[in-house]
Amino acid sequence: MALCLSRVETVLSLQQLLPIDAADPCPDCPVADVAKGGCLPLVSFSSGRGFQAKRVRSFGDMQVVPDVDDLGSWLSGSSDDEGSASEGRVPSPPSSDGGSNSLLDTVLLAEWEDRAEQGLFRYDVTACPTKMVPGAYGFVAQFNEGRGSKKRPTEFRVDRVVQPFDSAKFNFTKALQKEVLFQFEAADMSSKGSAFLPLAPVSGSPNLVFINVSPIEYGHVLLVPRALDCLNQLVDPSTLKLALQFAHEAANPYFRLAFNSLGAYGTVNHLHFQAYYMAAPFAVERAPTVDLCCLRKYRGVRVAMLTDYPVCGLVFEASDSIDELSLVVGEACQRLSAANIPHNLFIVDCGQRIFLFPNAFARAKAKGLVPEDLLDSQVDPAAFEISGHIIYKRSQDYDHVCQDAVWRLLSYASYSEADVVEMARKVLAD
Amino acid sequence: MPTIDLDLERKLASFNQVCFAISSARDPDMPIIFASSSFYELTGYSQEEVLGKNCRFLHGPGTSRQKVMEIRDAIQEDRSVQVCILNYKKNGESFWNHFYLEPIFDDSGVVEYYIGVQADVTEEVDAARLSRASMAEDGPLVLTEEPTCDDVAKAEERAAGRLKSLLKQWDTSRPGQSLVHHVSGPVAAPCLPTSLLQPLMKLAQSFVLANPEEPDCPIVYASQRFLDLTGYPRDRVVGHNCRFLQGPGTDPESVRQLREGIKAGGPVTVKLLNYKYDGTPFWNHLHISAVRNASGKVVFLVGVQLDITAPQTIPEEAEASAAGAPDQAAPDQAVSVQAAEPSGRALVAQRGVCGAVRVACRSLCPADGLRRSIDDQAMLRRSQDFAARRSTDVCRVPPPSAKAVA
Repeated sequence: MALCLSRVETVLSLQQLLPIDAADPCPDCPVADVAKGGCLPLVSFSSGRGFQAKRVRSFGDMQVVPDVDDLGSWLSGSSDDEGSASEGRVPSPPSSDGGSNSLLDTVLLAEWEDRAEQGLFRYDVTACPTKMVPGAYGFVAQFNEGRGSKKRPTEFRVDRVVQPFDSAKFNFTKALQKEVLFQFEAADMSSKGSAFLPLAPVSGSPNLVFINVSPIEYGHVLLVPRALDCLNQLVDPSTLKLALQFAHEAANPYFRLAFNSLGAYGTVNHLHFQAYYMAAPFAVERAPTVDLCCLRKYRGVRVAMLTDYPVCGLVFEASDSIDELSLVVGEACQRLSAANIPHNLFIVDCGQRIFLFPNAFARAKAKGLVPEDLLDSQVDPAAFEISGHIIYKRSQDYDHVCQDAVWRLLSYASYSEADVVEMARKVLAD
Repeated sequence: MPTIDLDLERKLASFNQVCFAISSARDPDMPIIFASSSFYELTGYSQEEVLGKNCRFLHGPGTSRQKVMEIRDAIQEDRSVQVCILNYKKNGESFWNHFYLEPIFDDSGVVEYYIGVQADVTEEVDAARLSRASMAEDGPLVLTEEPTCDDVAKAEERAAGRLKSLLKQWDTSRPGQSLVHHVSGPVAAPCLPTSLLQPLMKLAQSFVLANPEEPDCPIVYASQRFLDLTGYPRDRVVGHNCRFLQGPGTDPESVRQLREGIKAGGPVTVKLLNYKYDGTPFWNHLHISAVRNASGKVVFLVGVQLDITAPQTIPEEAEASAAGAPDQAAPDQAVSVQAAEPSGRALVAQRGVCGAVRVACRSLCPADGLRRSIDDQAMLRRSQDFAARRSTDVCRVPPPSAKAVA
């Protein structure tokens, strides 16, 4: 039997299988080393599409689903010079409108799955039980022992939003290269869609997507803008725009981004956004809103305030352009930072809606206002918790969770409505 | 494109004064399979533009993302929903759509169709906004809730109820015959909830989902690409163990490896010789992984196939004999097919399917998973009790000074 088949290992990592003839990747070297001419996978996106250009949403959501054609040819192997793959021979029906997952979505999930198979995570997050907290609000609770015991300790003072970058402390240039899923870069203006390269040279200071080795849901990643520039954990319009582009390219309403400033449970002073998948709405997405009528349309962005929710926050919605949205919210964050108000961002709907929460928890804690039993549960109200996804470290808290308990915990993170209106007035003034 | 039965279409014509559309929940992206003449009149679109499309073509720049999310939430929770949403006609003109969506369940309890009833309430909304704008001068905050339009809501529910009983009647009068003609038979085991089926149908790869809890681990879902690749009709796949792909040239050692990998609970990749429905052999770079639900329990195995058969230059007679039925193909003929290495991109696509299936299954569990219970869903209008917890009354917040608002 002339079988041309060699035995394959049971589990193959994507890296092992990729035909790599470029510079040797060094998965166990720190990320800082890529500055000396390293290579990492790359997802590039067309920066012209959907941002500078006005979006037309009539028939638009069909068009917004990006790269169906690219993904098709990409998977069929027609533009593939990596060998004699035969998938191209399979007749493939044309993709239906609004059908397939986007390229970024596919690559992110694939690379994450690959790192899981390599055993880079501290635990299998899909084995952590999760449930809906009974009640109309639909908070989601998860029991996750691993995260509590294995998370990095916070290494700096919690009462200052702006602190100098300290290269002696942990930052993402010290993470290992195998923890990087890919670079996320704007393509040059001539390219029409997104593209994926299994390995591409690193130039300048790339935007990097890392795994979170202590994930709180499947696909938990960190987007680190211009990673080698060592930016502080502060949002500005340009870095926020990158986060919105990331959400837009993922094109999946169940993939949401978050930002925690220092003092609002950001634990690393190196600019990063968090993101993961959860195939259910967050409680905050369901909460009713009231328009701030004085600001109803502020520079093309709809501004509203949450109501009937334990944490008072502002809601921003793009109408025409994500440029305007990143400008308005990015500047608001800069002003909150300057006023030393810790805050969280929660980005939903593929980058079209942003929740901004001034976070009062650390302040309440410092003043001794937070009851002991809440502190004992060690649940930190950061962006995901505030938005309705509560990660419990102790089984007794998870087993007995009820809507009132979640409400009570989160309410200590809230400024009063009057305070938030006042802040809105200040941070949104021209 | 799924089509609706002609007899039924004639019956539905008696509802033409009602503005409604019916979507199939068991087809990719929930395409519209029928719309009434009032629907075409209101929106300005033609049949060709509407049928087979998801109804999101009505969205436009002013459509609230929150309202869209409310509809998505209802679909995820298999329940009805009523929203007042800004929609757009073909000519770009916007209108306020008082939209009512109601799921129609089949006998096994999964959602088969959705009825969507529309009403243009632009006049009512504009009137309400005007009166509110005059009130708004007293304070910085204004409720955004659209007017409730109780009469419209009731009329829509009644219409949906009548449509529903028509569909039910039609269904029971023709046992075993579906109201919708799917392109290639039933798409999945009837037990698979629509909230899982829809994300699975977005994945343009060859893969199957199997249930390890049931005897012999039957396939509960097979993707369209799987049927394209193997040539099997869907009813020969769903409900069967996927060993039907094996044949005389399949190496028992690879099969053993596969079985042990699954038993060990880990992901497993093997290359093995498989056979299509017509007996043609192909090399399958198969990746199988266990998938967990919300409680963290393994509920499915996902198996993703990659055809890595090398492009071949077989003599004509070999090709002819290889096309026979699996049991007729002699092992030495099968072996003339050679395997190539999968491309890196194909492998990424393969792993991507596993990830996407994990995300979809993670919100499921035997009870309700990450879905609110029926009782809680009923409390969509939030109770006064919770509203009262807020210490500040929104209406009492002092108005901004002219200077601060700039």
